[in-house]
Amino acid sequence: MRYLALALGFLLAGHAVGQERYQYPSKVQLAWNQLHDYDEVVEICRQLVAAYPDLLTMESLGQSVAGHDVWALTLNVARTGPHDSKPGMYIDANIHGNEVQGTETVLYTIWYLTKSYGKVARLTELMDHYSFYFIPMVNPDGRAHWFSQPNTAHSSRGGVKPTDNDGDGLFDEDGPNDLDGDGHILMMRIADPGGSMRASSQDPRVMTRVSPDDRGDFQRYRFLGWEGIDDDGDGRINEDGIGGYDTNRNWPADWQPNYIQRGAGEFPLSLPESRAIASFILARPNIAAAQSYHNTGGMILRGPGAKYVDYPRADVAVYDRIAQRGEEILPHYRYMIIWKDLYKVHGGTVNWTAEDLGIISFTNELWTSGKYYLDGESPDRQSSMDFADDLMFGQTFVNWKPFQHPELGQVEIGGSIKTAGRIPPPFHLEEECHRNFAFTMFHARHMPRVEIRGVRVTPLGPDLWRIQAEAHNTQLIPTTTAQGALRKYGPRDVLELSGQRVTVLAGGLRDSRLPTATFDFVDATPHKLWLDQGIPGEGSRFAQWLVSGSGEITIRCSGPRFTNVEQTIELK
Amino acid sequence: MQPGKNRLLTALVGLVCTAAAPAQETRNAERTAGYHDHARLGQELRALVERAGPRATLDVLARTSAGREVWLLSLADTGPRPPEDRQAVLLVGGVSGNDPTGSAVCLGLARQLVDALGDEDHDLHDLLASRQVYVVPRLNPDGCERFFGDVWHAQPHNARATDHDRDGVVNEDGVNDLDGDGIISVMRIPDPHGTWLADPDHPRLMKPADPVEGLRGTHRLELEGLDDDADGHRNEDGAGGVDLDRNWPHFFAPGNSQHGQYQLSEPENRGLATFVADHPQITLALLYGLHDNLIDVPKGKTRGPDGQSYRDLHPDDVARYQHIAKAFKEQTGLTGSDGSNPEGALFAWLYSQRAITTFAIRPWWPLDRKPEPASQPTTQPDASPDTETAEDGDDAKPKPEKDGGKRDRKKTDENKPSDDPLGRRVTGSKWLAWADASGRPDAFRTWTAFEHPSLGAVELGGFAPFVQTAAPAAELPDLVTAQATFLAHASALLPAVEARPPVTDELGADLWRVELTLVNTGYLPTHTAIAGHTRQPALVVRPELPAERIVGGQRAQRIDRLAGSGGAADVQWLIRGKAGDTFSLNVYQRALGSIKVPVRLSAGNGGTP
Repeated sequence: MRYLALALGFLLAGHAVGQERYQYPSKVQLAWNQLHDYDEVVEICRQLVAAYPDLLTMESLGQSVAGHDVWALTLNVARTGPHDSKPGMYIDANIHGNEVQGTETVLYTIWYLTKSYGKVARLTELMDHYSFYFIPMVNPDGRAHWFSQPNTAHSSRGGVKPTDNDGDGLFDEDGPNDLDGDGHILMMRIADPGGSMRASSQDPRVMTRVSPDDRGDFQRYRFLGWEGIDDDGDGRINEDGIGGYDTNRNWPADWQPNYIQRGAGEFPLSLPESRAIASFILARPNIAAAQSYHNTGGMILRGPGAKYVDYPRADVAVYDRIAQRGEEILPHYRYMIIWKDLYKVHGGTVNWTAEDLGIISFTNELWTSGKYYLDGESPDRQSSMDFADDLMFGQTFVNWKPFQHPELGQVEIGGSIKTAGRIPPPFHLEEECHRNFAFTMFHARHMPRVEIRGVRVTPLGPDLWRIQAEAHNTQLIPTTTAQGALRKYGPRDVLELSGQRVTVLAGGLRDSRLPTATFDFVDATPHKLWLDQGIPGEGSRFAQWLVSGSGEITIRCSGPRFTNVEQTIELK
Repeated sequence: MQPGKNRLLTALVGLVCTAAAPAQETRNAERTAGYHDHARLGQELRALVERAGPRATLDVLARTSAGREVWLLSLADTGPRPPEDRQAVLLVGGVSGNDPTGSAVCLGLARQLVDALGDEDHDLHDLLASRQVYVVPRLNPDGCERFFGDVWHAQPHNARATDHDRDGVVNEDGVNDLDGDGIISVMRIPDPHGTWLADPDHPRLMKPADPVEGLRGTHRLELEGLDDDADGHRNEDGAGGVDLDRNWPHFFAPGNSQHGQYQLSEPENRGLATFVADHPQITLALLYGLHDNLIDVPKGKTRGPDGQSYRDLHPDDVARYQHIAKAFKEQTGLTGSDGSNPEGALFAWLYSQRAITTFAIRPWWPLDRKPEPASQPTTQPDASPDTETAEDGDDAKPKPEKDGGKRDRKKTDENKPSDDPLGRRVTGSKWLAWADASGRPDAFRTWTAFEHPSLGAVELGGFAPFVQTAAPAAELPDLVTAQATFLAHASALLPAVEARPPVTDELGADLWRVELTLVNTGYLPTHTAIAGHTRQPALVVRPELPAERIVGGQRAQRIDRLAGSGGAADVQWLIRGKAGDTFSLNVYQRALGSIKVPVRLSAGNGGTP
């Protein structure tokens, strides 16, 4: 029945292709040059669900430390089957509270997909074949804090569970302070004859390192870190702020304790957010692709996060093909391996999905200053200041101002505000959203699709038949990745033959469709051939059975990560 | 075999079992006498708490997949410090379902601890007056309940439904008690290509056929069972899910359904882990189970693959463990064990990731119980043996030789279960000698012919399950007494930070130098080597004074570590004040609690107090 429905879906989708328009309006009007705080994001999700109830549902997976709901949205075309009967793509964002634009990218993805269903043929086809799971805000507390409180571009990264980072028995007692009350946490600098920094002779707002060639009379400065005081009087400033752990180091794959991996948390999935999401993922064994949105630097990252495993060669080929196209879809983004090209991560989300669950997974680091002038070049300090002046009209930089610090004396406070640097300026935001959305759709369309092909029935005697068939995966991602097979995650794929009036005498896999292929017949369950390594991407598993009897036989191929298929034929 | 035929057989076997029910009850009662099943454990604990009054509480740490409670008994007597400001001692038993003794000993200790409440003459009273004590007598109630079941099958796992063979069905092909005797025996299957043969030195036992010695196998070995799901494998996906002692984060090995989908995936373990994380004052843990790190103290040489963690002990903690091990052997009379395997084990997590001094104790080891001659040093094996028990359904094959046959065969200890993938069911001449000598004819079933429905003529036999892990009930009280002695000893070794009277020197112009010396009078340092390695927080000392009165020294000063047995360190400040002013110095460390030291600025207080 489902297969009939699937076929109908194609027909309906085909209908829309003839239209001239290529920009279809959404029932929900949204501007993609804006960032949204936690409440606004939830409201947008509600509006999208209300506007597209046949496609979209949302549910709370539980509460964060501070009591925010962790929302999940599921996009599924019910007509073509329940969400878990199709390969699913998992997409999350904002596990680091300050890395906010990933959430807009997820919202954009949902918004674009819903408005395109039945109108844009390629996307309609994707939605007919695959389901999509979205967690727009993995760390809602971090996002809420980042928007509502004074922060830097780098702060509010973790959650808000009180943590005694300096081991003095007090929790979160010494974080940064907005000393001048301007709503920003900025840098502090102090005039110091022993300092190694100076104001640039070209632009006194720009701080540069003192060079041995610098002659003449100039003021030396020392940087004193982020705006703050020694709240707990232990001689250290800002060493125990809100939270102080990293939700993206709290996942099971290669999890390491705090002394090896800073911010790891007490143990794997010790945080309510990571635990709720892990349960959500484990309950959906159909997830075959995963994407996490972070910032910043313009990267398409894959694991491993540390050199504790190497990804099997077959999987690397899949990663390479998707990410190399990704580098073109996302100009000035580079495809990198986390531990080798960035830094070591133990217990990251995508490490868990990729390494323990065998899901092809990427982390994108959204936005790079290489796009300030669209040349991919990393701008120097002066060039960044010019960008702030001439394209942002000075809105993202606060000039140095003197401040009488209670412990440090006369200091100056100034620098870039939190929206500068890691987040695209509004006029770039929509492009970032769209290109990253396009990359995930490119990834999604490679999720497995299986067909039964090449069924051949050959009579070998009065009551003996040879049946040959192949299970073919038309897409790039295998039904079971090599890493998934290594970790033995989930039930295995299986190819089986059944029939009311037949007895399966022998059965097994062949290594090709050629007449000379080997025939590896199995002992105990000749009717049921287990595919421990799944069906390779753009490849087949070849089966052969010897049966006696008559009537209809059904060849069925099933597994958790593809839409299960069957074909029925008559023995004659 | 056709599935239909198989189901019929299973049904027949079931019939045999049902018919034998009344006899079985008697048999169960006999073979588990002296041990508490889950219901009786709960009754006993509730009775203990009632007897203890307000000094004890009973809480549920977690609920198992079968709905059983993991009990936590908390005990503390009145003492100089309030219980919440004391170091805490954690006792855990019943981690492995195949180990009845550990849980029984732990419960026995709980009983003795309750006896000791309010009884100043009791050996355990000092412990209760100076520490908070937490007892988890049975971490794995589902697994431990199998001991009390109709069919004896010893396995460590809890009761999570698992799909070990990844065919989409859970628990569909476990062992079967084919002959209805209430015991899962070993099946000895004649096979000219087998890898086992009867041990020529001990004809009832089997030994691996070592081709290097020119030996040819005559048998295959499997556990008693059928291919219930007709997939060509016997016993490959039985009831029994995750081994709780392979599910902890230290050296966790993923990709094995018996280890759990991820670290602490099991509610029992997660409950205990959360409790430990929430109670940093736990500084000592004693685990009664199948691991041992006191008879065979690990050498502390092996690092993890990342080079940052230690597999078992930190090398600088080894000598201290060895010193304590000496007392342990004297006090308990124990001389042997199966060693330990830290991979995913609870004891290893407590030590390696929580920096808790942890003793893994195997409280019953009846072999070689002769006192050693004083001059002869204890020999220790080079590597910790693997105590992993056999996985259901694995054909018992001897382990391949990893070192090209170079190993010294004479050194191979036949009493280690690692050489016998079925978990020492067909090997172990010392255990056999013990069984014979202690009049336990039921301990080893001599091979008897059995007509297996699909295999034909086989023999059933081998050591009975639990024989090597369930101490004779009559011996339990002595085992508890021995462990109570060591418990009192071990808990007295904890660090004890004391403050010397502060020194106050008047420097003139209302300026004072204040110096505080802290001394650790306990045996253990405030920070063991593993505590230093894992960066446990330092001691923090704060004068409770407004910031402007402290003109020299930080408002919070740190002392990284105090050595054991009298290690001392001092901190000082310059303080504004007048003679006669009083304030407090507050000493705090996450695990050790806090001390308030009164200071009175007084000129006569200079120099050594």
